[in-house]
Amino acid sequence: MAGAAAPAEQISVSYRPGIKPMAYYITLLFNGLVTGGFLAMMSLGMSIIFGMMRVVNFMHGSMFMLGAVVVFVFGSYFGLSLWFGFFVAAILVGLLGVILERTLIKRLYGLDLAYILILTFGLSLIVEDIVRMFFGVTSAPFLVPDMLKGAVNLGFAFYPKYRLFVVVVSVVLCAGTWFALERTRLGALIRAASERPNLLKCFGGNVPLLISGTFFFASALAGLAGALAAPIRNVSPFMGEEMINFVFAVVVAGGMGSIAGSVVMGFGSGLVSAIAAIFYAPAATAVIYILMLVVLVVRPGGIFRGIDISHFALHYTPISERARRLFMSPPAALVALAAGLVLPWLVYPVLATDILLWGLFAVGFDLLFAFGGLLSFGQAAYWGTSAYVTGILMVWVGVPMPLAVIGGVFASTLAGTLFGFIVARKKGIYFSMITFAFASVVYFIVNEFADYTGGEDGLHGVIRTPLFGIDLRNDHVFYYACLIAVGLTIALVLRLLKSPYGMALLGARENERRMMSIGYNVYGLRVKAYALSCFICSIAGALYALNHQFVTLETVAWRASGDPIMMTLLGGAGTIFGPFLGGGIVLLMRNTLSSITDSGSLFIGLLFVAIVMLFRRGILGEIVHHWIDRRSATGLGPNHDTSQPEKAPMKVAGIGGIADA
Amino acid sequence: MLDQVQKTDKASAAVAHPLLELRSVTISFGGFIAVNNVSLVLEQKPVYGIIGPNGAGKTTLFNVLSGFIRARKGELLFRGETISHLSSEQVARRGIVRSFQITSIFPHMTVTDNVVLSLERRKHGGTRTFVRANWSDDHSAEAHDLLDQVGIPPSLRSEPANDLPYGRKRALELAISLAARPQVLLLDEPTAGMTVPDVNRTTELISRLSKDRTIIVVEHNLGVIANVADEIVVLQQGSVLTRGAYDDVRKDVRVIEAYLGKRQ
Repeated sequence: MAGAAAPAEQISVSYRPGIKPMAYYITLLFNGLVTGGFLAMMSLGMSIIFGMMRVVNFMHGSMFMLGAVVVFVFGSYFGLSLWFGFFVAAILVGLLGVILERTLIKRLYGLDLAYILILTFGLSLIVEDIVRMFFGVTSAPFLVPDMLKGAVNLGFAFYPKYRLFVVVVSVVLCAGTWFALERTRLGALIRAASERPNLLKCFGGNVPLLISGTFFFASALAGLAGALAAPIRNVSPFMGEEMINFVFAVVVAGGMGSIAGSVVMGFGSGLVSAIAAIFYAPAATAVIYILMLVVLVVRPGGIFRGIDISHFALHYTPISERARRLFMSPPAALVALAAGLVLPWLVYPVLATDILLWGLFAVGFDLLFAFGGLLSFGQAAYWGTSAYVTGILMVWVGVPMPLAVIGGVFASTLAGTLFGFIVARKKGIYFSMITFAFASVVYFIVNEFADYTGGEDGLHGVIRTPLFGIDLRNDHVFYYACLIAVGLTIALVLRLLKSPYGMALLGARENERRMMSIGYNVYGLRVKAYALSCFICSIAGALYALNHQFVTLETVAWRASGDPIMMTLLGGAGTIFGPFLGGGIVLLMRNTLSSITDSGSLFIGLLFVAIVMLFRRGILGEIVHHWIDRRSATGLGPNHDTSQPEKAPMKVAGIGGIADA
Repeated sequence: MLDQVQKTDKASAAVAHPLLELRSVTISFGGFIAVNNVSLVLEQKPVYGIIGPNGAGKTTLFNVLSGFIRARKGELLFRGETISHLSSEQVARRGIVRSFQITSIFPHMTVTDNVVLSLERRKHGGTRTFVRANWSDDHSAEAHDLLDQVGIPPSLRSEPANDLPYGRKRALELAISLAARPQVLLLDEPTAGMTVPDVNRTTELISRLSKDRTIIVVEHNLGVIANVADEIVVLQQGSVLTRGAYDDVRKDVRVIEAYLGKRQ
C-alpha cells in the first residue's frame, strides 16, 4: 500500500477541498490501519486453519466477539487490568477453539467443506444468542491502562496512543506468525501436516497435536484481536458478525490459505476502506466487498497464490438416485399439493403464504445446490431485489400490481443472469464467497438509496389490489393465488430436471471433466442454472413483498441468504418438496419461539448443528431412505439398495490436507 | 522405419492433411518442461501406441490433444485445421474424445444413463429443456448396442454406475466415449489395474473398435501395446525419442536405455 502522502494528494481535489486540515485525513488513514490490523489478525488465523484443515470457520467472528466480551467482563466486574484481560481472552478463546475442533469439527473431516461451514455457522448463532442473553451493547474505554492513555505526536498530527499500540501489536503478531511458519522447525512441521498429513504420521509426527495447536493459536489470535478492539469499539454480541463478513472477503481476495495474502489484504482493506470513507463515508463497508469482487474477477486465485481450491467442487449428494426419482414422481407432487391446499387452515394464512414463498426461495437455492453442485451464499440478492423493484414500481412509479411483479421478477432475473456469466466460472468455496460478496453489495445499494427503499424503515405501501375481479386483499385468497404461482414454478422445475438439460446438470455435478470430454459446455450449463435459480428466487421475492405489503432491509441481508440453506438442509436437499417442509418448520419454530422466548436464533443454531452432525440428508431424505431400505429388506422392492454408504458419495477426493487423513 | 520427426514438411502437409499434427508444441508447468518442442504427425492409422517411462509427458500430450491443456507455444492441427485455441468441449465436438487415467464415469447415475448422457449430447446438443417425459427411450436402442459392444450384461444396466466392478467401470467409460462417435479415441492407460481376463477383453475391444476410427493408446503394459498398436511413438523427457513398428522399437538401443538405463 502507498504511504500516507499519495492519498492525501487525492483528497485535495475531492469535492470538499480545504474544509478539513490534512492531519484529519492522515488520522483517518491511521484509523484504517487499526481496522486493517484487526482484519489481518483475523484473516491470518482463518487462513492458517483453512490451509491446514481445509476448514472454513464461521465461528472465527464469534471468537473475536468473545475476546472482547471476556476483556470487558474481567475488567469491569473483576477489576482486572487490560494486560491481564488480553492474556485471559487469548487463552480462553483458544481453548474454546480446541474444544470445538476435538468434539465437533473433527467428525466432519473428509466430508464436503460445506458441512463444516454450516456447522460453524450454527455454532456462531448459538454463541451470539447466549452472549446476547447476558449482555447488551457497551464499550470499555475505561480499561485502557495509564501508559496507553492520551495521544502521541506523530509530527503531523496527534494520534491516540492506544490505537497506535493496536497497530504495532498487530504488525508484530503477523510478522511473528509469518516467521514462525516459514523459518522455524515447528512451522515446517505445520506446513508438512497441512500438505501430507498421512506422510507426516508415517514419519512419526503427532498430527492431531499439531492440529489442536494450530486451532488454539488461530482462535487465540481472534480472541486477542477482539480483546484489543474492546476499548475502542462497541462491545456487542453482534460485533463478530460484521467482522466475519469482512474476514471472508479478505481471505478470499488474498488467496485462501496464503499467510502473506491475508496479512497484506487485511491491512490493505483497512486502508482502502478508510480512503473510501474520506470520499464517501457510507462506502467504507461496501468497498471491501467490491475490492474482493474485482480481485476474484481479475485474478481468480486471489492476489497471492493460496491453496488451489478451484477443484473443490461440491460433493453434496445426500440422496440416492432412487430416492430422487421418487420425489420427482407424480404421487409425490400430489401429496405436496394436498398439503398445500390444507395449510392455510392449519396456520394463519399470512404465515402459510410465508412458508410457501420461503419454500420456493429455498427451491431456487436447492436447484443450484443439490442439482448444480454450487453452494450460493447470496441468493437473497435476488429475493430482495425482486421484492424491492416490485415495491418501488408500485409505490413510486404507480405501476399496477401484476405489471410490477413482472417488472420485479424481470429486473432481478436479468441482474442474476448478467452476474451469472461471471460467477459460473467459479466453483466450490470461491462460488460461495463471490455470491456472498455480491449480495453484500446489493445490501449496500438498497441501504444507500433509502430515499426510494426506505432504508432501515423499510418500504411501505406495497398494497395488494384485486386481480381479474379476485380480491387478493383477502389473505386466504392471496394464499391460493400464491399456491398456483408456486405450483406452476415447481412444475417448471420438475420438467427441467427431467429433461436432457437436467440430466446434463447432474452430470456436470458428478464429473465435470468427463462432461467436457464428451463435448458438454459445462460453463453454459451453469450459467443457465444460475439464471434459473435467480428466476425462482425472484418470483418468491416479488410475492413476498405483496404478502406483507411492505419490504424490509432484512430481505437483502445476509441472513436471508442463510435461511434457505438451512430450510433446504433441514427438509432434505434434492428432494424438491423438502425445502417447503424445512421452511415450514423453521418459520413455525420462529413464530412459536418468539412468543415464549427471545432466543430464536439459539434454537435455529442448534438445529443447524443437529442437521450437520446427525441427519445430513434432511427430514424427507432420511424418511425416504429409511423407507427404501425397509422395502428392500422385506423383499417388497428390488433386492439391492442403491443408496450409498453414508460417507462414500460425499467424500472429497484428493483435495489434500487433513481432510484426506 | 526410424525417422525421428523434428520438423514438418509444410508442402506435403498441404497436399493430404494428416489426421493430427503437432508443430513444435512446448508445455511447461512452472519450471518443469513436460512436453519439449514436440513435432509429430499422426496419420489415419488404426492404433497408435504411446509409450515411455514415467514423466515422459504421455498424459500431458493427451491433455494437449484433447484441449484440456492449451498449447500456447506451438500449434495443434486436426485434418489440417488448427485446433490449438479450442476448449476441451469444442475439441470433443470435433471428434477427438478421450478417456482418463483414473476411471471417469458418472457414479450416481445408472449405467444406461451414463451412455444416454453422451448420446444426447451428440444427437441433440445436450441442453434440450422442453421434451416429452420419456425422451431417453429414443436413445435406449443405441445405448444398449454400445453396452453390448463393450460387454456390460443387461442385468447390470440399471444399477448405479458406482456399483460396477472395476473392469466394468472401465468398459462403461469406453461406452461413454464411443457414444460421442469419435474419429480419434484417446485412451489413457485403459488396462491399468485390470485383471488378466479384463485386459484380454479390453485388448480385443480396442482392436475391434479401431476398424472405424483411429485410436491412440497410452499404456504401460507392453504386451497390450504389442498386440494392438500398428505404430509406436516413444516419448522420453518430453521429447519424441523414436517411432516405428513394435519389433523395431523394441530393439532400439535408445529405447532400452530409456527404460533400463545405460549399459556400463
